[in-house]
Amino acid sequence: MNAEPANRPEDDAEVTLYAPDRSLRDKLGNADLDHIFTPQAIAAAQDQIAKATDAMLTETETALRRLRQDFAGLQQKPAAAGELLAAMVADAFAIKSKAGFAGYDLVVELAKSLQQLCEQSHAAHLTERDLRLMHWHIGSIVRLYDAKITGDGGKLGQAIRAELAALFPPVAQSET
Amino acid sequence: MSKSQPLLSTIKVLLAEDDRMMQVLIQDVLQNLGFTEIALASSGRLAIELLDRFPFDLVISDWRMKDMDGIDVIRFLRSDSKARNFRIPVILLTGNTESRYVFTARDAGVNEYIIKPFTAEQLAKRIRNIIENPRSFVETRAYRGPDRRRRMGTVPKGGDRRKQGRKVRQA
Repeated sequence: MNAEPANRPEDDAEVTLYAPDRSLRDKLGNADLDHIFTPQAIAAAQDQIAKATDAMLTETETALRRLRQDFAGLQQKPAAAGELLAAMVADAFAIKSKAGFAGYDLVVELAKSLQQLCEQSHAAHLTERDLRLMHWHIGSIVRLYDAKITGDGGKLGQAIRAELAALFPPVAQSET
Repeated sequence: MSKSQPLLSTIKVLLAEDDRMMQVLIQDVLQNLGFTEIALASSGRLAIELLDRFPFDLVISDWRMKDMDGIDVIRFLRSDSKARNFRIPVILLTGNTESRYVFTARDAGVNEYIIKPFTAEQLAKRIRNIIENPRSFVETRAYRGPDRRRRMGTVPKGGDRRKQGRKVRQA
């Protein structure tokens, strides 16, 4: 966020600079923010996040189940590819946004990669390679999730990354 | 909770999030931090409608929403300088980590960017930053939003071009 704007205008005379808006600060009067955002308040809020994580995982499982069904449909009904690809994008996005809350970083990464793959695939011209890639992504997500492997995936994560690089070099490169 | 925590009830927050579960979670987190005035918009379009009708102090929006995403909400907000809330601070929540997304959000006029999964501390820090260190608001032909230059300590060689001929308005 520190880089200079790419579209910085040439004519500075046309720049209007408004003074910082301090109305939020004014609303709080002289209150010390350390007394508002206390460690206790933050801990209570964090506790909510922890509780929600369980629910997020249930949602992740639901989205994963839907994803597998949609992919099966994609193989069986090529005519519905457009609709099914859109559904897979939504499923992958749901997995990406929800699994992240439980620390499944590599699952998130794979879901993101799958989402991009589905977005970039052409419904009318799905190739064998597209399907193999999708299948591989879904299988890898399932492997990680079922084994409850969080973070970067440890040894299984390394193996999955190596597999990706070996099987599909162009995709592996674009994702790193 | 501290005695002064209810002070945050003076700050009206609009939460734009189309995922029900995330909506509940973020609302709970905000309430635990001490916010009580939280309006929910389950879509980008609804967020725009609410922003047009009511005065809010802070917007927290998800990036990806079904009908109109968070970036479009920000662009719409910033596009009309006569609009009620065109300078309102916006915190954008997203799972997108690549720099191109960060730049897109910055150039749309976002104030703060939070990558999911986030912690309560990260959210509190961004909100504090908006309260304690509000940035100038810039209007040019190509951009309208918070000043994108966060580091103001060093002046580039040749001086600060914006010092010449700029108009400074009070908020």
